[in-house]
Amino acid sequence: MINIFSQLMMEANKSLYGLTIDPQNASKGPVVLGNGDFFIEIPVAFGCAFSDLTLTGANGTALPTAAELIDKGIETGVGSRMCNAIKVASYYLEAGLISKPDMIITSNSCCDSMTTLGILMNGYKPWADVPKFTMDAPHSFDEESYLYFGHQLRNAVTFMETVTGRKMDWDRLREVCVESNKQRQLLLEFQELKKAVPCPTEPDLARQGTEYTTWTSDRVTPTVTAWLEQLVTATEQRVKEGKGIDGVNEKVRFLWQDLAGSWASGTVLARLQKELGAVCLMDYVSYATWTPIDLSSEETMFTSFGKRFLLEDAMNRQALHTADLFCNDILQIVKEFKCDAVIMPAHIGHRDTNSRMKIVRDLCREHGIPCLVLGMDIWDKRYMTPEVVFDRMKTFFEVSGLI
Amino acid sequence: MDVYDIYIEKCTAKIDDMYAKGRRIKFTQLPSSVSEIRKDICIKVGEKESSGVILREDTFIELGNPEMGSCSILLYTDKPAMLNDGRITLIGPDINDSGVNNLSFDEIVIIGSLHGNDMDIVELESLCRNKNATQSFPFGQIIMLGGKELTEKDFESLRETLIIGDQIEGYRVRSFSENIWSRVSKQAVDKGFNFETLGKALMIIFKTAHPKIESMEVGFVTTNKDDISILKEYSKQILKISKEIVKENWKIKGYDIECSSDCNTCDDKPVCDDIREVLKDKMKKNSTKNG
Ligand code: SF4
Repeated sequence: MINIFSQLMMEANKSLYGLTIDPQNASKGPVVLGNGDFFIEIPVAFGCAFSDLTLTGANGTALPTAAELIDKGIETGVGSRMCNAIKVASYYLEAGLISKPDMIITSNSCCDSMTTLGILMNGYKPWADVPKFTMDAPHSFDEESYLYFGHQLRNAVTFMETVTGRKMDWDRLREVCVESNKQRQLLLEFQELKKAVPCPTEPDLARQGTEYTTWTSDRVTPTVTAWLEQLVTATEQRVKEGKGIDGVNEKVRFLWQDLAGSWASGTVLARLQKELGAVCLMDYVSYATWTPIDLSSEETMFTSFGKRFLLEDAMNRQALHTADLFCNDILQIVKEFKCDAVIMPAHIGHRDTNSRMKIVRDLCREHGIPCLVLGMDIWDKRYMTPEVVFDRMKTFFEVSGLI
Repeated sequence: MDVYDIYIEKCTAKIDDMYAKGRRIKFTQLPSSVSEIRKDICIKVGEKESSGVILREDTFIELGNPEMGSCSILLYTDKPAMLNDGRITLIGPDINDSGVNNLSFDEIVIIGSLHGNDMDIVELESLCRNKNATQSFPFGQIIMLGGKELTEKDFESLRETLIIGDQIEGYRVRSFSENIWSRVSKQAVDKGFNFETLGKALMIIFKTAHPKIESMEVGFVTTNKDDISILKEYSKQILKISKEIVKENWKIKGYDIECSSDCNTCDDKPVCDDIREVLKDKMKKNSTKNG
């Protein structure tokens, strides 16, 4: 059914398509290439393109040639249990398919796979002459860590200035941050609305909104702000009318404690919602905990960037820190969003998460929350097919008495 | 269980100091028992009592938007006598005397000058300019609990009780980590919701969930970012103590959640060293073989 929400989804998807290899290669310079999220407000204000090779790889797994790309990735010599997003990225790199960037900025976050990709990028011989800068992300979340990482981001700006011969326009950075704060507030507002029972609209719009706001070339532009405003206003209207998702009779609300990856949303999650009324309320990427960037001074701005990077970027939050934070987030989400169950997809690349399975199971048992561990690959549907995932989840909901 | 005692003393001293300096402070004394508190509360408290979400247009006031200043502190002790059981302290304006929604710019400036220093005016001026914050107050919340039987092991369950969810009618806490960012609905304010109500609700929730609690005090700060910053400083230190408690509690369960990745202190260092030696030998042999 075409409605405002499907129109918004189409708009975001169009922009998200820009994250695949060809549009990324066509980025207008100067181009910064990274192995993960770089604090986005910086390149936007600096007026340069930022391309995240991990994302390009991840988006490769959504292409019709995904299986072939993954298999070619294995041939590059990265470990067979390495995350497939990284395998595809390694293949793109080693096969010479990525345009030579003007500079490379990498960091050691947030997973071992991304760190490996960073090492490959920095050691890639044909790019020996490309200026490189590496940031060190501490695996901790406190003021000292935010300050420490904030300083590194500040040094990254100096590095960018040296490479390009341009100067950062600090007023522009401020302007970008104001827009960014506005966008995060709207995303948080949408997150609030998802607490309504029944869930008023496709919860996956939160993930799309976050990706649209954070990763695409439209990020931090008024276009995205307008998109978010429309999304929030339309959703508020549905809450007022007490309406749920069109065509869905909501019976179960669950947390998917991982990324949705490239295939689960359109297959398993869509089917579960339609056929069983089981709604995926939340996943890694859409769980928003942002605090606004503090614009009082340059130092506070960069410390805010540091905090956002280390603690509030969804992947870093879940992968970089303690099991305690991970478990606490699960409890918080379950309680606040009235989830009936926790699904641990246990993506094979997520060694950090997978090492916590017993802890999460114990936690859920203690709190009487039904919990299912899958053990799938969010980028490669051959590992555990959508049909198998669907069947396992259906059986789980049945035996837990949820449907 | 005395690790937080120093901060209980500091928070109490801070309140006394502000009172002595003539800051606007309101004290309310509640009875100790939950059933007595329940007799005199204008909203419902309990699971599912806050229906759904509070929309922007139904919001009377937002508390603790991080741009305004926001901080949440939870402290506890095994010396219940350290606390004045049932006391609610409000430093700054109350929800119902905010009236921010209905005020003109000039009126807001006047209110600002009534309850604090020049910073309040600056704060309120910025409130007026920022559309998102016109209905917003800075917000600090301090919850102090005392119980002879409370120990470090109670930390997680006390912390979990802070996830209020839908338990307070007309009040929703937005998902947030160290901050507390919440909304009060217009309907609740019509029923008389103010900080005394919120304090009562928190006492009902905590005392019901934890019978070990023998005394409880709640403090709210709504003055300005500077006062919240003082709390934030405390909060940073308190967080460090809490992290240590959490670490120890996980150790009891058999997990080391923050293993220091320092080779010199790792028990497995000899194994790693052996492997490294074997690899070195292998590489040496390979390079001699390859000429
Ligand atoms: S392991 Fe997770 S965080 Fe790392 S690249 Fe894969 S999906 Fe991303």
